[in-house]
Amino acid sequence: MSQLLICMLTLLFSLSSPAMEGNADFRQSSLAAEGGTTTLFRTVSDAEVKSINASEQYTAYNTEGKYFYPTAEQAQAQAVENYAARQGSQTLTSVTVPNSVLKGGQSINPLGEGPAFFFPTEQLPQLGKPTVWNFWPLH
Amino acid sequence: MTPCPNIVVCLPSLEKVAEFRQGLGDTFGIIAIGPASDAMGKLAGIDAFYLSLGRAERWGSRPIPPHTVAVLHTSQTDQQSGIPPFVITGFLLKEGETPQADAVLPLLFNCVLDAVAEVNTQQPGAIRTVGFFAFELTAGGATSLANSAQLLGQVVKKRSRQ
Repeated sequence: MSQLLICMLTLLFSLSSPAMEGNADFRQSSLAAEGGTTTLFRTVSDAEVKSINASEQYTAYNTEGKYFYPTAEQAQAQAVENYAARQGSQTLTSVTVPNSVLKGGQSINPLGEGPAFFFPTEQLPQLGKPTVWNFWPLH
Repeated sequence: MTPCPNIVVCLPSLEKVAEFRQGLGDTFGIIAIGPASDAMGKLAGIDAFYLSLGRAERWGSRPIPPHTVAVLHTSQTDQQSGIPPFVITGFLLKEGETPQADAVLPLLFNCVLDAVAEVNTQQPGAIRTVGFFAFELTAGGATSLANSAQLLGQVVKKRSRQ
């Protein structure tokens, strides 16, 4: 049952996020130009969940910024494999970002991770209130 | 000649270790270990991990020019919990470049080994062993472990001959 729920949620997240195969193209697309929003995902540690719940925004401590992914699957991939043992429990989060703000992020294409966005620490408050998907723990 | 560091590949199952070793052929100097648990994080003797950009976020990774890597230092607290003193990260594809493993992974491996050589030039012996995880080794699943093992082996052999 839980597997089915996860599959359905994954599908929902994927469908609710616009296709972002080429973020460089996205920057020049009519979607970006016309406004609207884009949903981005990232997995976070327990400490970051607490921080989000307290501040209702992503905050960065001692880091340069944070990475966000256009699909839940990409975010989930960051928390898999045996390195996850060092990361501790990971929780999926998302945030719906105005496309005008999205253009302020850095569109990147890391090997292995696929298209992603990097937001420096000072821009994180502009992203808005994250949603913590507590019912989808990743191990 | 700059000696190639030992390379440790940390894999989540015995089957994946077998697959990787099959791809290695007769290459020496690359060791596959598994299964996962948290053995890797606490494995003494690994001096640096290669992690993708997102997985290195907590050490202050940030985007750098494509086809390059950065060497980050971990904290004393990290090291006491089993994290190695260095994290190597940052390999970005160029705009429009597709993640074709056969073309891109050798570039990644050479970048990492070049970075290790540079660190060792400044701090002799600082990085004698480099660790990889399956996620990074297979470019996020873009290729098989056997193929990535073969590609890594070819890079190590070529560099050993130089």
